[in-house]
Amino acid sequence: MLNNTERRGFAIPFAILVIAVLTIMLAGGFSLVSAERRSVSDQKSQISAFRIAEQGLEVYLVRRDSLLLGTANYTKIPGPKDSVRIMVPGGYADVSLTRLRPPTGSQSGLYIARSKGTETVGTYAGTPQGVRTVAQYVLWESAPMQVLAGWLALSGLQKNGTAGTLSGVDLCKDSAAVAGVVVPVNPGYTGKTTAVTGSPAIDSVPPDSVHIDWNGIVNAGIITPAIIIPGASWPTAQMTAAYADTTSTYYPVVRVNGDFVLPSSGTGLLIVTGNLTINGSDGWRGVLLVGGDITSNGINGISGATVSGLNVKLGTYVPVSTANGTKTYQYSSCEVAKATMGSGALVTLRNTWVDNWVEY
Amino acid sequence: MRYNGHRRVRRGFTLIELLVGIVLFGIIGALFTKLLTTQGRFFDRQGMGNAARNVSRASLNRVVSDFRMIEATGGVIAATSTSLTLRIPFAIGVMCATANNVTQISLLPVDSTTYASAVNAGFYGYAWRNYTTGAYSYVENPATEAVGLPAVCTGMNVTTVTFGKVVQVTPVLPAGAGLGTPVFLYQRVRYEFKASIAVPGTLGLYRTVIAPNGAETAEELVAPFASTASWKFFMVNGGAVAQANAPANLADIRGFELHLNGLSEGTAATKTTQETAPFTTAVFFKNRTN
Repeated sequence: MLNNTERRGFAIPFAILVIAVLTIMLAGGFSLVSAERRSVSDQKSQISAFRIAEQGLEVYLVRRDSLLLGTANYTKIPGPKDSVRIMVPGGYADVSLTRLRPPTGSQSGLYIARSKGTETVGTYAGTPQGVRTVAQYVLWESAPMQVLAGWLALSGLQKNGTAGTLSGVDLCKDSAAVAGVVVPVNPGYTGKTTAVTGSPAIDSVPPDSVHIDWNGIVNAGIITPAIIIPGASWPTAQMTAAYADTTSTYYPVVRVNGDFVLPSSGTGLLIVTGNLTINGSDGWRGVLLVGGDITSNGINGISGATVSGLNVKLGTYVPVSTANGTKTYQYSSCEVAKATMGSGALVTLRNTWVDNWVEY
Repeated sequence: MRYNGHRRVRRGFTLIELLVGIVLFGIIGALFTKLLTTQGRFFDRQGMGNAARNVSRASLNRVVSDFRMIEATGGVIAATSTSLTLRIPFAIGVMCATANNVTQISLLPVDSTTYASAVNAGFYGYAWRNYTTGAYSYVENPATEAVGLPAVCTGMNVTTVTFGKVVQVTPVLPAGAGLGTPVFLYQRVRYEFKASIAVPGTLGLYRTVIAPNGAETAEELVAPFASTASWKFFMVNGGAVAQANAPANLADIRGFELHLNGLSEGTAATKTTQETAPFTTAVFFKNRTN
C-alpha cells in the first residue's frame, strides 16, 4: 500500500482551481444581477411611490369625511389643517390639507392637498423606500343652489300692505341681481307690487324647472342636518348670537319635520317640511327651504334666499304664502354661500398640479 | 519482483502516463479556456447592457418630473422629434395682493437650490390662472422676480405653507386676477438629443435653460444614447397612439412618448457596436383642463 504523503498528481489542485474559477464567475454573475435588480427596483419604487401618492390624494378627496370622522382635527368644513395616513396596496400615503385662504364673501376657501406616498413592499434589500410627494390646490365648494329670486314662492305669494321689501338685488354685491319674487303663473303674485325690486321685479317659472331636489332633501336625506326637530331643541342662544354677529361662522343645517314657528332669529340653512311662520322681529341670515307656505309678520328681515311651497314639486297642494308687515326679504349671495357651505365638498382646482414639492 | 525489505520509492511518471496526462490536461484546459472566454464575453456584454439601461433610466426622473408639470395649452413652444422647447414650471403659488406696481405671491415649498438655480439661470416669466376658465395666461419678457413681503400675504389672510416663500413679480397681474389666483413661475428650457460631448460619436440628452436675453446654459444630462432616441407626441383626442411628428397646433399636445434608447460607453469583446437598451415610456401633462 502506498503512503498517502508520497502521492503525486494534480487532481486536487486542479479541482481547487476549477472551484475557485467557478466561484469567481458565480460571484461576478451575482454582482451583475444584483446591480441590475437594484437599478430596476429603484425605478419601480419611484413609480410605485408616485402611484401611491396619487391614489392617496384621490382617496382623501373623495372620502375625507369617513377618514377623519371622530379625529381631533375633523370639522365638516376643513379648518386650518388636517391630516391622515391612508393605507393603499403596496404602501401608504400621508395626506394633509392646509387652508391657504379662508372663504371670503362668495369666494370659496382655498386649500392645498399634499400627498406623500411611501412604498413599503417590494423594495430591494438595503435600498431606501421609494417616496414621492404630489400636491394640488383644492376649493371647498358649497353645494350649488339655484337662486332665482329673493323669494321663490312655488305656491304663489300674497303681499299685504306696501311696507317691507322683496328684493333680488344682491346685498353683498358679489353677484348679478335676480328677480325680487318668482312665482308660478297660477297661482301668481297678488297684492302690492311697489315693495318688489329686482331683475325683473316679479317673474314666473314652472315648478318643474326649479332645480332643487326637494324629494331628495325630504325623503332621501341628501343634505345631512346638524339639528333635527322634533328631537333636538332649538339653539336659541347660539342662533341669536350668530344672527347679531355678521362675522359669525355658525351656519348649521336645521331640519324641521312638520309645521314650525321660528322661535328666534338665526343663521344657517333651515329646512321645514311643513308650514313656517315668522313673527315679530325675528330675522334670518341664510337660506329658508320650506315645503309648505310661509306666513310672515312683523319687522326685520331675511337676507339670503327664501323658497316656499316646495311640496308642490311632490304633487302636494300648498296654500299661498303670505307676507305681512314690514319684513324685508333680500337676496344675498354671501349668506347663501355661507348657509350652503356645510353641505359642500372639496373640489380640485384643475391644472394646479404640483410634482416638485420639496422633502426635508 | 523481489522485495529486499525496503519499499522502493516511485519517482516520476512513465512516458505513457505523462502523454496521457498531457492529452487530458490539454483537452480539459481547452474546454476550460473556452468556457472562461465565453463566460467572460457574456459578462462583458451583460455589463455593457446594464450600463446602457442605466443611461436610459438615469435621465428618466429629471425629465418626467419636468414634463409632468407642464401646462398643456402654453407649455410647448417648439417641438420636433429630437428637440423640445418648453415652459417648465419650477414653483407654484397663489396671488396675495398687488401694490406699488408689484404682485406678491405665496409659493409652495420647492427645493431651494433648484429654485435659486432656476432664478439665476433664467427666470423667464410667470403664468396666472383664470378662475373661471381654468386657462393660464403667460407673462414674460419682460418679467421680474424678487424676494417678496410675507406681511402682505399675512395681511390678506393668505397662509404661507411651512418652507414656502413669498416672492414679488412684475409686471403685476391684471385686475381680473384676484386674491388666491394660482400662479406659477417658469423657465424656458430646451430638451434635445444632439452630439454628445461626454461620449463623442453618440447622442447626449441636453437640458438648456434659455434666459430672456437669449443666453443659453446647456447641461448634458446623460449620455450616450442611440441614434434612435427621440420622442413622440400624444394629442388631445388623439387616442392611445403617439404620433411621430409634432402637430401644427402645439397646444394640442398632452404628453410625450419617450424613446430613451441608451447605449453602452464601450463595446463588448468580439462586438463591433455598443450595446443598446431600447427604453420607451410615456409622460402626460398633469396641468391641463382637457
